[in-house]
Amino acid sequence: MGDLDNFEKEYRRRAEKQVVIPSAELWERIEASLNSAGKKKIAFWNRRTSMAATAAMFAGLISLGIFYFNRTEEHLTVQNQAQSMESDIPAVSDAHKSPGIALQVNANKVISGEVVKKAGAESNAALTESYLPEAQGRTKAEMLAYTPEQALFASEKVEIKRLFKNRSVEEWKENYNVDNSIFDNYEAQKERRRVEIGGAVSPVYSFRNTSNTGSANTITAMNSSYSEKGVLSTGGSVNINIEMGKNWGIESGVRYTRMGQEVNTDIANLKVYGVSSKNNLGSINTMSLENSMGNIKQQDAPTPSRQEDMFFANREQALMVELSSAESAAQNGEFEQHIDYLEIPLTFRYYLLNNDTKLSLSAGISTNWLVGNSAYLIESGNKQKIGQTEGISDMNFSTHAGLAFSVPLFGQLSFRLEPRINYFLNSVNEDRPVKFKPYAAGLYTGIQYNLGGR
Amino acid sequence: MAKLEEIIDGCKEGKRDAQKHLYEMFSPRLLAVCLRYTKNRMEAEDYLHESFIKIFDKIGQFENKGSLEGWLRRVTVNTILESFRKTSKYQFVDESGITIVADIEEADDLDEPAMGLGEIYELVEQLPERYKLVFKLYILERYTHEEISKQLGISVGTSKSNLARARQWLQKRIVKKKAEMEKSLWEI
Repeated sequence: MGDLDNFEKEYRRRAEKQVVIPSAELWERIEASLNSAGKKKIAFWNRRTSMAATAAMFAGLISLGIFYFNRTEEHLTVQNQAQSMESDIPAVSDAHKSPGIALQVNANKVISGEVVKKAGAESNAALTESYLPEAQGRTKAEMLAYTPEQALFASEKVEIKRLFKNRSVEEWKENYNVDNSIFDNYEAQKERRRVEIGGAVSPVYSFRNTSNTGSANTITAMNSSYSEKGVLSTGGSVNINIEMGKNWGIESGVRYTRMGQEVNTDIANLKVYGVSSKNNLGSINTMSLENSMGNIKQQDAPTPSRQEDMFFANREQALMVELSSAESAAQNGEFEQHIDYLEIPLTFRYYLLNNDTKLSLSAGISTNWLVGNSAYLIESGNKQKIGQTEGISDMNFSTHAGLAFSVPLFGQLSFRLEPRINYFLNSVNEDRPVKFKPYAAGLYTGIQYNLGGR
Repeated sequence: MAKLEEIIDGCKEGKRDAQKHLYEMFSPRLLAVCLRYTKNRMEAEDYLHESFIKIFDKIGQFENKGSLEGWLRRVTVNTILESFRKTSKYQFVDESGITIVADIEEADDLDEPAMGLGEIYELVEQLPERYKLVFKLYILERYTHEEISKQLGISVGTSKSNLARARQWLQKRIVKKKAEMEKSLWEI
């Protein structure tokens, strides 16, 4: 009984792995039944109206246009070939000469399994040779005629890879709504390739890294209370993200980042006298406009906080400064220097977790375009714009890295939180001996919208 | 793609997306099951249609313990057998016009001198009608004789007898075919 046992096992094994694609309209019929209350009428509906529905379907398909018409035609072509094939097997030589006949033989083999037995190994080899070179150009329906049934055909894996090289297989899967387990791995990869767009805002803390500060020391040595510190501002970004497979994604977009620093320094108060008078006419408050970022180019004379004071008076020729009087440094003043950049990033994203909930590491480089350059004076509670920092270059490169966490919200929307740092690769002021490289850290919070792919 | 558990839960809640997903996943395999017992493709699709209505109606009874595919197949086959009982007939399976789009062959099986796929099916389909159905239910669907007798409305003894006769019939043909193959090899 060993032969019979083997036979039964083989029969069961092969039968369990068979799949047959239902006709395209079957789901619509099932859905219609589900929608209707009269489920008991299903059998009647099947028998009597399926023909009418099929006819209506074909009429609709024809009117849809050439694209759909062509697909239908391809499908019917193979069906017709299959049904027209009887036990007559074309001669091997004929099959070798004519790709059309080779295809017919192949289709027949799938239907009846007879070719294996009758054509023999030699003809199989011939069929394989005549068929395979043209496989890439064949239509989706014809590709279905491939079967790994014969030893001389490639193994299942090779067959599937070959199918996937041809884009028509994807179309085939869409058309026939089939989810076959042998495609699962490829399907999973395909599904991962999805596109998202999104936007985010963040509080951004920025400061700088300086080098070659020898000259800066001479600046800061001017007064003991001189200091520079980072600034807190708001940043924003819009992005497009494409997931390339299970673990990797690529992202770009536009980001706006404000960088800069606050400079605290003494205000020197000088008494001013008229040439013809010994009376004190007032005083001039002076501050150093030089710092590690560059010189502040004054464009607007600031309004003094006291009527009797004149800031950076530009009418010195009418005044005399009392040289003998000691400078007073009773108060501190503050500059705020802002440099605003539009950043075009190229970011690579590695997904540690890529399900509905995602966790990813990101890193990349950016081109930064200067879009804003302002300097402000803050004195006695007043903040006023006085000019801009000289010598800031229009374009710079930076690198960035982050850790993003996202969770689904509803529909195609998801929420993403990403702490990210950005570090400039070159100094923003090439004219200065001090190398000033800004950096920024932000907690970007935003919404992502899935455009498709899953 | 949603996880299978999510699809099942969605079907239990009557969600159409989940139902369609389930249909897309299993309809090709279940249609192949239908085609083992029905005369033609249109009839097979009718049975698949009825089966999915039942599946969506009864999926609340599926408890996520066993194989979903096994449960789906069981519902499908029972739907077909129910129809057989009502019409009191079991017809010969005519597989012409059926396109088998994938019959998965393991690479290491290619060296086996076993019969080809077509020969195996051909031999089973040549079984006398009265044995064939029992043989398929027992071998392919793994029904017990008790289940077969209940579903077909026959006695357990009849089920056992039909299976034994089917096996006897097949055994003779297999031995004969083997002898023919060996003879043809010697002739080469």
